[in-house]
Amino acid sequence: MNDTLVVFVRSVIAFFSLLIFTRALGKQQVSHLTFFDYILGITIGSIAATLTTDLTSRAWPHWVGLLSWTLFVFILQWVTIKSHKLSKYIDGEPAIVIMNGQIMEDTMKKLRYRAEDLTNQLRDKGVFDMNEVAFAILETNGKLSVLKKSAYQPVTPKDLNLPPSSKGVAVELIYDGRVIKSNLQQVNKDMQWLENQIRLYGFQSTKEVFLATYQLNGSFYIDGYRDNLSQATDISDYNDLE
Amino acid sequence: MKGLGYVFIPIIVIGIFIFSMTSGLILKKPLLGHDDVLYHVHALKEDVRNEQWKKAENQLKQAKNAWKKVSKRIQVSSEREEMRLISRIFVRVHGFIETKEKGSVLAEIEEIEFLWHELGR
Repeated sequence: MNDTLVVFVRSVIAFFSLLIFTRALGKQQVSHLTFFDYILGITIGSIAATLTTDLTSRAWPHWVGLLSWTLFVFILQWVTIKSHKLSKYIDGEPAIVIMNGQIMEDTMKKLRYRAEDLTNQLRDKGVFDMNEVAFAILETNGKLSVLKKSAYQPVTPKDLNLPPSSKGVAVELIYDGRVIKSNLQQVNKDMQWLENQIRLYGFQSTKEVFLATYQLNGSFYIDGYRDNLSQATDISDYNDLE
Repeated sequence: MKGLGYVFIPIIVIGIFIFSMTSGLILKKPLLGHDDVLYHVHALKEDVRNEQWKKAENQLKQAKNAWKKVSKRIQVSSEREEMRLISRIFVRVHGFIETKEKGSVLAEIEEIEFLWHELGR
């Protein structure tokens, strides 16, 4: 009896079973998973891990468990696709946590959603001032959708009656101190031009540059390894907590 | 053809997995000769009942050899603890045969028979 061999064979079984089962379940994005989906994923992963290393019991019951949980997820997916009502019941509904600029404390309490979570997710959305928010909706997957007040919404070319210009995709020219020559050729630039650009931004060599990108509209971004910050902003309030 | 592969390859793979996990019941049966554990265990039981200790010792040796072969085949599909227990019982039986403890040997053999019945289920 060889434990190593058995664990290896069981690993192969668990790994490829998981691969096949998850492929069968479809391509739901991780960012779209609800809290329950996470729990399901963790449980299925845990069963697969036990199947691999728990030699005190046979592999078969664990594998049946794995199959059963996958089947339940499959059934749940099928039900939520077929019935909108059941989908709402199982996945829950989005909840408005800020309405017309006012925080809905009761809703937040019901959801066990803290003010800290709200400010955190607002910052994640690029909102650092609560006054800017008209509506904030907590989606079923835990993400926050934010609608800013009209005054704080960015002006679009349409608002100004300007013809929109395409920015194109930013191409990396220097990454981690190394020049990506194929990208340089792609944007019809040469080393001489790149060296002139980095000197313009105060760098002596490409080795000093962490990231440099170029967009077809001529926009050039550069960031060096050394950061010139006179005073760093500290957002931690840990020391003030009692 | 590509589409069929997408369906059939996983089905075949899953089929192989299911067989490897449930094959214990089939693989514990004698397949190659000199690997009939249950036959040797029954013969050992008879020898012990008749108090033919020399023959019993020889039969135990053959049972252990057969078990060695079978345990390799069923190690993926069977419970590790049950397999270890059978191996340990064989060791204990050896000791009881040496001291000619008929009752103890017969009790241990009964346990082997029970475990053998459960193995791979």
